[in-house]
Amino acid sequence: MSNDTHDPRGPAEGRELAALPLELDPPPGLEDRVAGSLAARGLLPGADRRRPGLPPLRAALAAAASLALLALGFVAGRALAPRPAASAVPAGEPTRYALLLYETASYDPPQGREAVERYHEYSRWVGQARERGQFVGGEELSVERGWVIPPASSTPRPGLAPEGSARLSGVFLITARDDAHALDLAASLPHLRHGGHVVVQEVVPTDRPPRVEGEAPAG
Amino acid sequence: MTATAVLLRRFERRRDDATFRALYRAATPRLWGLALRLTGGRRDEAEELVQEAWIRAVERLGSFARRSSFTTWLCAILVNCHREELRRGARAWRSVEPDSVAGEIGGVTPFPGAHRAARIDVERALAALPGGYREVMVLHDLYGYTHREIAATLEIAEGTSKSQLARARARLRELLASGAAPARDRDDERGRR
Repeated sequence: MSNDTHDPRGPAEGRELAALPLELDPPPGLEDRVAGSLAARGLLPGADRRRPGLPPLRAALAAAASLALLALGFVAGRALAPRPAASAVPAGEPTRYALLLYETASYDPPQGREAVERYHEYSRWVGQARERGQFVGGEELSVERGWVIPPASSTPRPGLAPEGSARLSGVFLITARDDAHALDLAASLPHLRHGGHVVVQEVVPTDRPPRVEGEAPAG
Repeated sequence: MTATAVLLRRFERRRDDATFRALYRAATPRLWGLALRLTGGRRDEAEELVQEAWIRAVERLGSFARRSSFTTWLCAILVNCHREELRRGARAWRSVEPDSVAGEIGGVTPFPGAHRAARIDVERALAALPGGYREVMVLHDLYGYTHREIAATLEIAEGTSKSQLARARARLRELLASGAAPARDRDDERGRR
């Protein structure tokens, strides 16, 4: 690009324009939105990967665990119990999985009328899972308001996630044959196409104590 | 080789988030300046344009022939996105008079790099130009496109580009004379040319 030598700028307006900066500082949030859109289209790895040590993923998992425990009414001490060595569900029974939908930095929230389209998109997914007998339950979670209760405190503070964690905007419970099947089902969630993250966790039945490798089943 | 070119090569090899962000930070200030001027200072529309331009650029990186700088190529993509939006009718050309521009800006310039009152006057006058005039003037007088390049990018005749520019300059002169103070002092140039 170069200026036409045969078409010089007029003297007055040329001076005014010449004083304008060509480069301007873009809005601070735009970088994340662009990177998120690229990630949602598979043109970039997830935005979380830019941070060393993957703390957001760990934090998301921790948040998922703590929120799921809260939702299911587990006592806090349960989290410290020995973890099952394998699936807690006896062979032959369908296993339940929680699909936790997170709004991470790469998530592209719907704008205006898109919200209606987005609603129908997720509803279609639920309807198909229900028709296949795989949908147990689940809902969207409001991101308008929520409370966080910190450990060793009974004082809730307004918030949607523990500090440093992504916020959870939906929980679906499904049944699946095994982990691979659950991951396949989760991969079809529209949430991923919109840049959100999905955490898949097996549901540990509340009516059975955990099995520990090397020990006889209790009860 | 420029820093942007080095980052581009690295991004082509790695396709990782960190390199993309470095490339973004190197190239976006010019892209953002162009987008704001083309949209007459409408930030939402400018953000959409920048986002769409980056998506297309990354999608079509393999077709970048390096006949121009990467930033120039990006700017051309952005101009095309802008034209497509206009053609689709998603965005109408909106020309506004200086008073309504001032009202729309509400005393807060949408151009953060333009702090001086005189510069804001020019930005406002530029934003007040009819869309077609503004586009040609921004590309030619501000971003250094030739009429041939403008004609190719905007799919118009070179003669149309020249006549639009002449009318744009005349209109800008009128707008500046009608109320906006001329630029008086450029010593504190904070923008990066």
